[in-house]
Amino acid sequence: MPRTKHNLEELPRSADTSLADELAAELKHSRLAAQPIIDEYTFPKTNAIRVQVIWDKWDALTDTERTAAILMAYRTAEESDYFDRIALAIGLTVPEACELGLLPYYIIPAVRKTDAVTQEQCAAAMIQEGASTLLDPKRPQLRFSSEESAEASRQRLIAALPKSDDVWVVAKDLAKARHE
Amino acid sequence: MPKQLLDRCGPDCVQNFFQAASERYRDGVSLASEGRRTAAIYLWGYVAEMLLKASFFRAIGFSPTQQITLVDLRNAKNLEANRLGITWVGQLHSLMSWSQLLVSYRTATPGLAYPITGFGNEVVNQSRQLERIWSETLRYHKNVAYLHEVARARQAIEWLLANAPAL
Repeated sequence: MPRTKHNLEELPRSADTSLADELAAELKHSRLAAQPIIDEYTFPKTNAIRVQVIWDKWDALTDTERTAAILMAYRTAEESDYFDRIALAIGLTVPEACELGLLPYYIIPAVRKTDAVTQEQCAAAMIQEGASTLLDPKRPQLRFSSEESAEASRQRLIAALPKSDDVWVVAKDLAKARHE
Repeated sequence: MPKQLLDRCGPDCVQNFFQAASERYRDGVSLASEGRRTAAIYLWGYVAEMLLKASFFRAIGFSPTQQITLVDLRNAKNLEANRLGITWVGQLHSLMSWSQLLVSYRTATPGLAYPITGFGNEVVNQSRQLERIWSETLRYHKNVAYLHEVARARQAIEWLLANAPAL
């Protein structure tokens, strides 16, 4: 019988180079709005870093491919001493991050017939601001980890879409009931 | 009179979790071979949970036979995870949260970092792969898992088991 040995720790790690390049560009020129949402946490005692990148473009990639792309982006964008400190790199789409409770705050457009802006204009502004359209392209989801970042986004939406001040509502998910 | 099953069970501890993980893994393999796919995945999810919990408590200094209480579990979730900046998902069964807690704790503690580059990422990714198709609430549903889902769960749980000494 043929004998084949497989080493699971050495599976090929193919990184999506186009996404890695795009992410590297984001790392070099950080923007206030839009995805990807990049969070870096430094552990003070070891100086190690945990990176979390929330981005709908991860959708077609496996977790391992996402990690590889994140690491490749940091290798491109950062000095090697910074890259070497990255101990954990996690990639999530916006819906996945919502499911994990990482983005509990959201903005919804509460458009009335008397408002000066339309639902479509609001949806377009939200997408420009970085809303996710993975779940439903017609109903973009604009999600945040904190109330402050949601409020800052609301101000940008108002600036981007004049006379929309009263339309935008910041809300928060209710805690999900789970079985223990 | 012989003791009943529950009376024969020892306390929850690192050693028992690791040993029980191997037992439940084999139970899952038997179920999968009998076509009981959802039940196999259901058990394997708990295998991962036990491995991650045992590894975490081993990392923070619990001896192999030291009892792990509900208070210890809740402290891990409410205090340690918060200290390490981890948003805990749901209750005490979250594989993603336990894996992040384990890896983050080791990363944050001098001398405990994984010696192999990328190993921590793999721990989280394998746990997440399993969590995509597993929840403790599977027991409430009649759905039958696809074969590819069984294969994916088995690949992840076998990786975690094979690497359990290093977790």
